[in-house]
Amino acid sequence: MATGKESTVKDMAAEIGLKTASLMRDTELYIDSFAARHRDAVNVGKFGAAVAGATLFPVASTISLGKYIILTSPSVQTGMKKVFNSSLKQAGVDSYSREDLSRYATEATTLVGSGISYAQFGKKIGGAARTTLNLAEKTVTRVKEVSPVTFQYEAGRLNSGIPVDAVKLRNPFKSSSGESALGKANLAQAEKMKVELELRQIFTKDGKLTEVGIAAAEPIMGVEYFHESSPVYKSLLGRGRIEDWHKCAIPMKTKLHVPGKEELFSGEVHVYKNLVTKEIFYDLDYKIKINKLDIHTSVNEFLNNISYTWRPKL
Amino acid sequence: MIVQCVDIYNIFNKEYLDENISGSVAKGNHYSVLEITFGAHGIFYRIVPDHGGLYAHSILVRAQDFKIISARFPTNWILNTVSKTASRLSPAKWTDNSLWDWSFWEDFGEDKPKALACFREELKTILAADKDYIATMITERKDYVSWRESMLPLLNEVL
Repeated sequence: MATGKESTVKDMAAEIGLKTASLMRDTELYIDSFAARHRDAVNVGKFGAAVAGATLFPVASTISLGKYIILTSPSVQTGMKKVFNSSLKQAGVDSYSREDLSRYATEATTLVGSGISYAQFGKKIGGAARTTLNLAEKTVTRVKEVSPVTFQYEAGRLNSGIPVDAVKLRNPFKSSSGESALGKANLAQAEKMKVELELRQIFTKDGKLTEVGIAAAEPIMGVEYFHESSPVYKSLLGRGRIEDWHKCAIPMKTKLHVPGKEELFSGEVHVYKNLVTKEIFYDLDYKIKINKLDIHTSVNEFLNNISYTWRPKL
Repeated sequence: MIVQCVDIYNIFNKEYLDENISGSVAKGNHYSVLEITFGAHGIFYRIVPDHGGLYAHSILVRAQDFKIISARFPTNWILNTVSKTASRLSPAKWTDNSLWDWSFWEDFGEDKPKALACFREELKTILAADKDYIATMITERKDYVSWRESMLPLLNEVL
């Protein structure tokens, strides 16, 4: 039964988790080095509006990190924003490198990117945590039909291996043990383990779509129905007739390898395509959405086995 | 509104096929129409794909490849004219941009909670218009695990 204090508990849990992550990272990496690298920086900003979740989706919202987006909860947004701002102030800079942002993203999503994580942290700080945990467990079922993970390209950037530039988490993954995610939220460890996606049929080596992939694309939205001020509409205006552009989805079903196991998942690639000229527009909102993940691996293991490719392999 | 698939057409390669490449539609299957769009490229129905159900994004299919089985319009549909060349019959909330950060489908594509919740609610109203075809749709998709996993709870709410 809800007590009305869940939000407070989640906020506290999120903030504690983020502060811990921040402290660990700062100790390990020295924040001064961030400043030294900030030539390769993207601005920290555009924090998405925290939309208090509808009943059905109580933990999902958006944080935009420059071009990168991480789906998480309003509580995490608030917590992350505080940590970012505090660290920026300490470093005396107004931006982070892309690598630093990815680090934050990894830590934050691993630590507090789910209702279950909230609950685990909440449990440690006592009180109404049990209620929070119950709510979170319900959430696991109730949001099952929405995308738990989304990989997204950075516009125009080539990738090696797994074609991702960011990972979005929106579902409260259920952790299989009480073990703290903190100990596993280690980028170095994650980087050692390679995730291989069998996407060769859909993607070329430079991360674009193959002919097979393009042929399987199905229109899901006409851009002419978009808001005229939206980034996509504005970007496509002038590239032929706007009514010829559609957002398309390419269904995919593949295996994700973690050591010793294979996990099946289904998802779809989203991309904009001109129905007349057949032009593909890769520069905005080109992404893979994993619709369903049959997790037989513990969530922490899964998360730690995702490797991020933030720079092109030249 | 219920339609039945009679042809499989690849809109990009402009060719008729025996089977849909992605498994999103199948000849003979019945589909509930979520909205109808009228534009420069013809008339399109928006349907929930077989392969992914609600796990996947709803898709637009050419109207001429489907036969109308039930022409009952859902109570939440309105006619919305977007431009000289584009109109749609659609749930009113999906057409009202003042409700959304951008437009409904853009927000939905970004998984914004309000849009996702709205999609589900309006879909229930749409499905409720043709309750008598729900059993048929379920039977036709007995082998579509994702469709059943994602749709059956919602259909249960409708029934």
